[in-house]
Amino acid sequence: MLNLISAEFFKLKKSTGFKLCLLITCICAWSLISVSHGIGTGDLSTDISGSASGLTEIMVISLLGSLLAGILVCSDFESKTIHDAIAGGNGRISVVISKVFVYLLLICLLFLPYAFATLIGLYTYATFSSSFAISVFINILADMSGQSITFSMAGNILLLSLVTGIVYAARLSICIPVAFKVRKPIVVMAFGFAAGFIIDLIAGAAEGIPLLSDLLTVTPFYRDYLMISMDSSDGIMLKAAIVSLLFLSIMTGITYLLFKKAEIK
Amino acid sequence: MRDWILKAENITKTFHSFTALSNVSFTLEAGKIYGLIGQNGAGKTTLMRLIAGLSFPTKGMLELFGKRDEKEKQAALKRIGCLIEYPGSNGNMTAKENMTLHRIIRGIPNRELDEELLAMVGLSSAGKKRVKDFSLGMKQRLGIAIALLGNPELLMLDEPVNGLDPFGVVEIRSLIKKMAEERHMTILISSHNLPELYQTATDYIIIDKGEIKKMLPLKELEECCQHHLRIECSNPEALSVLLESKLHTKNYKVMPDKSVRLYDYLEDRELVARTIFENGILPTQFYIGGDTLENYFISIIGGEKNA
Repeated sequence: MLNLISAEFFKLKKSTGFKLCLLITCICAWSLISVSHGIGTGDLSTDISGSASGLTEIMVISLLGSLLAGILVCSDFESKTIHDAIAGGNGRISVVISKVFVYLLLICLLFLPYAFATLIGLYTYATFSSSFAISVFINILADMSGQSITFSMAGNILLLSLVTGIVYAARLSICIPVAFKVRKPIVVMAFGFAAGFIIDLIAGAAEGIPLLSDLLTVTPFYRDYLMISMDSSDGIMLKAAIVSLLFLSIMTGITYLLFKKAEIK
Repeated sequence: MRDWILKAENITKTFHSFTALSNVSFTLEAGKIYGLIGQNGAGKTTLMRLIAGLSFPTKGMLELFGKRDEKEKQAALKRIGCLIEYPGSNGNMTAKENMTLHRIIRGIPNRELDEELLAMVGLSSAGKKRVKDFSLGMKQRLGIAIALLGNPELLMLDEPVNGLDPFGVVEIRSLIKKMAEERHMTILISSHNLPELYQTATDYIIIDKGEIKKMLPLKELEECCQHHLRIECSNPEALSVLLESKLHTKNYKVMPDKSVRLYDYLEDRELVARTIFENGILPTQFYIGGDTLENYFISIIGGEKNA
């Protein structure tokens, strides 16, 4: 399986799609921090909050994460790389696990620009506003601006990014079985974005219903896992990570069941 | 004891109501070059995909290198290389990068292999050109190089000379023969063109509408297709003696059905007829037999022969 993971990274090194996703995340992260600063200082009006919310990790990662799932899985069917992996004696379960593992790492990687932009923002001791959009990183900036950065704080921000990355990877992992089934990147992207939006709506409505609310806590769609902050307890961070990793394992299992006896054309 | 690479027993493959393969049984012997010949849609690619583990039979059993168990068969797949349908490659990478990618997938550490195989298929000069800018022939060569990674014991090539220019066809043909001879590689090549396969294969599997119609070695194919005078009489032994003593030829063969195939005197049939008649042998059948490769293939699959 290590050879498959290694091959995935070799492909990503050459992938324009992945590089573009990373570049877009960098631009969005930097723009988000700039807008937050602009609103915080009064240079920008809160009227732009609607457009600026499109720069938050919730929007950007949901969109690019779905796209990445398509790139990661579907392009291998198009280039027939997956054919060689299977005809070369690699088990289908190894193929699925390696894809899910690399996907998890990629989503976590996409959070790094937000984490670094937040650290840079904090380092400038500038004023930031969190009133215009819902974002883990904007909340950190607004809550902690003016404080001097310590190694512990930087570590906590990176840890928070990692946990958020795992939660998002789990949320977006619903794209992986779809990608293995339909093998069309555009369909996967549309599904990922639409399904995430609908599930969030349902989750929001279900929060008032006791049984459904309890059920939600064992999925990565629980609102508290999505909006963890520096004030979140270690318990909630750990629970968010464990629930998300379990959800990823379930998605891996579902994908394997779909792919186990699938025709590879 | 014969060294079998692959055994297929009553393989059937259906896609909904369509039967792509029906009770297919055959064996592949080590070191031979098998030509899998059939029309488009005959089931050649389906058969190769089943062997490569890309598809699963609806019924029947495939034994690869003596392994029947699914897990063992999966491990045995490491011993095969294949190029099925169009060559699989990443268009944004160069030929060498594609080789590296597929080498990593197969877990082969030897970096020199990339250059070595590219040189072998005539792609060492491709340099930094991306595969998406390759001609079909170049992509085909790259596909063959990828299939050769890991020095497979069984190499499956689906229409490997598609898109190659005449020089390329000759090169790939000699490469295939070299692989079989030097590395004792068993090769299964599919084509819808029997004359093309005739120049490469040592054994033939004729497939039509999902059924194997005939398996025969090159010698038998040549015998079937070589033009000859077919003579039938009540005493083939006497006819043999006559051919040698009066017509001074040993270029004939007595067939199991007691008919005699004479490969000489095709242009002087009158002399043959007169000689055997004058020596007291009465032929019950006397005609030119033998076929073109195409006509032979068509006759096997049950079509009408050309004139």
